[in-house]
Amino acid sequence: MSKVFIIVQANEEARPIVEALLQDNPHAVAQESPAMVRIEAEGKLTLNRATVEELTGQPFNIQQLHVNLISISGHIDEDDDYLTVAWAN
Amino acid sequence: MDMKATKKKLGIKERYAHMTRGLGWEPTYQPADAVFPYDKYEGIKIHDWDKWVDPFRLTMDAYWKYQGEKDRKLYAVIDAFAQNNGHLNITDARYLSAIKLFWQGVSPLENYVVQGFARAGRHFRGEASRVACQMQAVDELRHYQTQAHSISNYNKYYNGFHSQRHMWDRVWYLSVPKSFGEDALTAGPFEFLIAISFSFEYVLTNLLFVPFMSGAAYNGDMSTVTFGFSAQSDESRHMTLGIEAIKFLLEQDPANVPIVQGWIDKWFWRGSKVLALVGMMMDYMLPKRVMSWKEAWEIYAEENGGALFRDLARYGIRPPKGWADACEAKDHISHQVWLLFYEYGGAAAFHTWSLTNEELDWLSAKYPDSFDKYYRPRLEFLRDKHARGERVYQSTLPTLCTTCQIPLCFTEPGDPTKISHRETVYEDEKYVFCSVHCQEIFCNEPEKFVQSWLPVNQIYQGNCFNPDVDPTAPDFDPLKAVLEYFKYNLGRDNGEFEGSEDQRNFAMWRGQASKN
Amino acid sequence: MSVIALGPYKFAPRDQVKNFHGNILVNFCWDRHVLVTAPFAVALPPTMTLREAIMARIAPSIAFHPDARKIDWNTVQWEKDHKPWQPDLDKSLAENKVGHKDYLVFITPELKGLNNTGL
Repeated sequence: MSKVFIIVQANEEARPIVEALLQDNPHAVAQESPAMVRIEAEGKLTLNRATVEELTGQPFNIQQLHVNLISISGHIDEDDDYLTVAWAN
Repeated sequence: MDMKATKKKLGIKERYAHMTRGLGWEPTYQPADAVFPYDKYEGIKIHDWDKWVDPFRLTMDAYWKYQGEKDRKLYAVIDAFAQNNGHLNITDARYLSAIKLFWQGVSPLENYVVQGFARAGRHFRGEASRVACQMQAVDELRHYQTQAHSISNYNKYYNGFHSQRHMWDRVWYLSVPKSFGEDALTAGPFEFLIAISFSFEYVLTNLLFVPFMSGAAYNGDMSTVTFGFSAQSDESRHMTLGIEAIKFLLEQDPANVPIVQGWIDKWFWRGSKVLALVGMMMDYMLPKRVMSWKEAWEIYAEENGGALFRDLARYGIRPPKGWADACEAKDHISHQVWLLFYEYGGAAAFHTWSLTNEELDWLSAKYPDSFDKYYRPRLEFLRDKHARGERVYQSTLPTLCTTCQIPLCFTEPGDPTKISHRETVYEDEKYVFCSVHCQEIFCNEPEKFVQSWLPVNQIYQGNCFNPDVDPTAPDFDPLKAVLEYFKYNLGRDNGEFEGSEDQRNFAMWRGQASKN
Repeated sequence: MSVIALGPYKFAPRDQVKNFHGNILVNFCWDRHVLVTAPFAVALPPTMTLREAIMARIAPSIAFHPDARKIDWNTVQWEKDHKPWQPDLDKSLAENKVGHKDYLVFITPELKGLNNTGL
């Protein structure tokens, strides 16, 4: 199976996104490089709005991801409550 | 009193439908084909434009909101960088060569992409595709502008950042990205989309913006890492557009598959050649290195690109023709391009230098199969010559590839001491190429590439001198005349780093920053 | 295949010999000596002998290579159009049938490059 990834900036706004991804995708691994964090997983990764909101105690719009996103790989499925990246193979 | 009912907010999918397709209309004064005259001639068949969906479902209102937020963050950093002499925090002044090359050779390409997407945003028939292309045109303009604003701070202190627009249209090595951009811009809108959104943005741009910008952070360049990652947040959307665009084209009609495959073959190869410049920046120009070009290629091209092409196999798409050769070249191209620029260092508007033993050791470790055998001996030989006061500067002009316009510094796949060359005769004219793939690109569209403005050939035709120059004068120095035509400040912009004005100034100012 | 275009698409080649002021453009590559990073393109009058062209333009450009001074130009092997080629160094480029934008490779099998590895 192919790997997907989401890379975000290493900053305070993106930290709950990283934590939510690791919490909701137990198979995901975080790799830190200067100024960035890359979350990689076999097959599929999902970011859930509810998890981020729980972590921060603030409302979160999935599209806020755009502000700190660096790169992404795989097909994207986005709705109000989640964003998933996955390969079909 | 009437209670106002609170309307439920629209969901993201409904909002997207209203803000894209909901904005369209059927033309009545003119037939649709007259309003959209350019979206059929390339042979791509579209039966239902409504099948085009941006998976991020970004609408213009949300777009402005998030872009505004990104810009506010970025400009706060640029201001702080300028106010606090951020330029003195970089690892060492050699690093500036990478930023000079970025500004000279990458930023103007952003401007070309603005033009291309503005055109695509006008000429595609589907509303959702037009909205996505318009956003990308605005994004790329933002990239050019934020790069100009960030890098202008370096221009206050260091050489080689001036005259960017002038150099872009003239300087020999800048013809590589320039001709790449112009090839894409002069193609039809669908080829442009596959060239830029898919082949460049999706398959290759991670190599430029992710490890290189992380490298900028590692080298203390807060300004570049901030504009780089701010731009890259847009690139994520562009990459998504790229993969959606290709799926859309492939799903619309099976007749589109071979056309798209041809474009993937062409543009993957062209892009991989342009990125040889980035390979050199990563392996040689960053005083502190995050990862090698080879490692970046393995992660972002081989692994990620491999996943992509396995995914696209269901449509009958195979990896690009040049894939295996481009992968083989990961052991070589950054070294070959650096050595080229080192030897032609007198003619580049950035500095080159000899590596320290620690740096050579790093490359030996990262390139166990190639560096010690083929590149380290050359670098050490040139370093020794420099130490003896015989710094090598090549002044005889190199042969250029008619397609990619890079000097023929690349070797045959699997044979790293054999310079690769191919020739084709088309209508009684001979054309030289660096590789079988560049030759094939020419042979598919010879009428396009017979127009190639090859800087070396133009110099010999006498088209690269200032108007007041007299080439018949007894003391005429053609190379000097050409570099003056490029608007180089000779002896300041070009040549060896050791002893350069940038090196001296940086050392002096940094010294002043740490003591009275 | 040709360019997909909406209308006629035909342009004059930009590097025709008539644009070179009486010269022809000739490419020279030293085989298996990649310390010289790229082949050279030089503009030469077709009346010039190959030996003159080498001495004036090529020999000085490769002089920094330690093998350069060991070259015996009289025994150098040549390739043109990817095939062996036997020019007469003392005849002109035109007499040797060197054409505009030809790519000449000169081979010195006894000289093995830096570290004897073709560099």
